[in-house]
Amino acid sequence: MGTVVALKSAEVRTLGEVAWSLPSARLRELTSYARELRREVEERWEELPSDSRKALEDLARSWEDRSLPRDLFGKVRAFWEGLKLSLALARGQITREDLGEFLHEVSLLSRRVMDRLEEEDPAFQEALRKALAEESLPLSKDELRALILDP
Amino acid sequence: MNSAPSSWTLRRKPSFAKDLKRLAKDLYKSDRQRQDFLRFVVSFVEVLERCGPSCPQLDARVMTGVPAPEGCKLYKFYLRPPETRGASGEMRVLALVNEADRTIELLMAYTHADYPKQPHPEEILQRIEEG
Repeated sequence: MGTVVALKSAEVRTLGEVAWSLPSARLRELTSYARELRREVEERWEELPSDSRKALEDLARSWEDRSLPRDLFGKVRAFWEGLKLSLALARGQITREDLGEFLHEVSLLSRRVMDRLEEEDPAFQEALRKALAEESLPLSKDELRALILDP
Repeated sequence: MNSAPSSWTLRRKPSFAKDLKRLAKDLYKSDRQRQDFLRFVVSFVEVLERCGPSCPQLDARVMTGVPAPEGCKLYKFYLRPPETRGASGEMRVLALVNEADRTIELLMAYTHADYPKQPHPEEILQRIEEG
């Protein structure tokens, strides 16, 4: 439970913020923290305090929804963040390796959290129960074609 | 699938067919996009058929939080269909795998726009108020 007690919602939120403005040493710390959190999610999700679970859910959802913004303000902001990242990389404040590791770990963490939320969703449980109870049928390419091209 | 030689036998549940039909309709508006999606799904199915669920080409894990029927494992495959963004681009396929029989039954296909459901708007407001 040691690590569970150490979980703080604010620290989880830090993972979702613009971490690439941080120096490499701090980025490595956050990578290690994300790895620890993932283990907690995998092994002790039910025991995590509710505020930590909510913070993890917010992180996972915001991570998943990341995509190029469509509005002008969002595009300008994304450009600015990209510029800062390029400068930090050019100046050697962060390395590509550290940034890559960080992004990989946060992606894995977000995925595990979404897996947990999915498993807790009653609608998901019901859909899975129903699918398991059904009789299976052979699968053919012709059927795939019909299902997808004539929806 | 009909193509030979086949290492693994693939079958599907009615739920999977229904899900695939719904996803094609919800995710894509044009025929060209649906053709791309079809190629994507066929490619996934062919890899499964040829190499099985543990193929390194596939991004998958065995689901441990949900009980599977005896002798089977429940696999979750993580997919990124073409031309999708955000939660709707996080596609998952669940399959029941019997390694002894080398059979794979495709159970469900969905995106994170389906499961897990987004929190209710009132819950989001409450969270904002809580800071």
